Amino acid sequence: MIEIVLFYVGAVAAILGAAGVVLARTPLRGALWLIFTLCAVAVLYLLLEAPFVAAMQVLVYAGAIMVLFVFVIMLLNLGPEAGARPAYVSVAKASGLLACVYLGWRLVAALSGSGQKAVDGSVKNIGVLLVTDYLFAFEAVSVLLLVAVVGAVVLGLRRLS
Amino acid sequence: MSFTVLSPAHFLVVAAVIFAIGTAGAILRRNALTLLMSVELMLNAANLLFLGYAREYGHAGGHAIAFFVMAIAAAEAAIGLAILIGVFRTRQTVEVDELDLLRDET
Repeated sequence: MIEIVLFYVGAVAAILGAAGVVLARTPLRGALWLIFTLCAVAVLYLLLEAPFVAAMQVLVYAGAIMVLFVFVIMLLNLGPEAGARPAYVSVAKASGLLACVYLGWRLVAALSGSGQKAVDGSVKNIGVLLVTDYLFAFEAVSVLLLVAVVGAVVLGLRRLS
Repeated sequence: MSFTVLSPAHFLVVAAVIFAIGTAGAILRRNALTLLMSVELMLNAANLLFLGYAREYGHAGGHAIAFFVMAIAAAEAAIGLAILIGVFRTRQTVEVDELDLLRDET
């Protein structure tokens, strides 16, 4: 019973926060809404028996990545008018939105299984998986992060020559 | 799908809604920063799907994949924001409509 209540609280908070990200007038407000959404999604992760991923969500996403976003937003110092221009409607946008609705409908229609099994989301189990089944992906991600760090430093240099 | 018993379908519906909102933001908003944040929303929805299926099938592989998605999101945010700062330095704007240097004028 407590689970279903927590689920609805987390789900409503996540969806409201997501709408806030998209509808916010300034990027900074959008970033704050995004942090709210990430924390709400972390609650949903906890309900899915994934405490490690939920902790990573709060630490890495809401902590590190969003600090980067807020930092850049304040660095660029955009006025409140930025992004306030009304978006025009085109055939491509309308059809894309229709495709979104269709995708959502298909997802809901296709997935109605209910046979849940227990899943071991402990740090130990995930750590073992990372260095056995997913060893190649793990190494590839570490190389990707290294490339991203080098790329960000190169892009941030004042003069590209 | 019952409304009183928690099932994987509940989480999948929430993930679909968040993904749709993120897609709408990526399509409709003009500000590149908001666009990047919409992409983060879509990545989060994908993570929610991975974890939902991990629970349905009783395998923690979805947790490992969610971990990778977070690492890739971090890389994407770092590179994307570095590019944005570079663009702002030369063009004084992050409005995606005004970044039309590669557009064919004919």
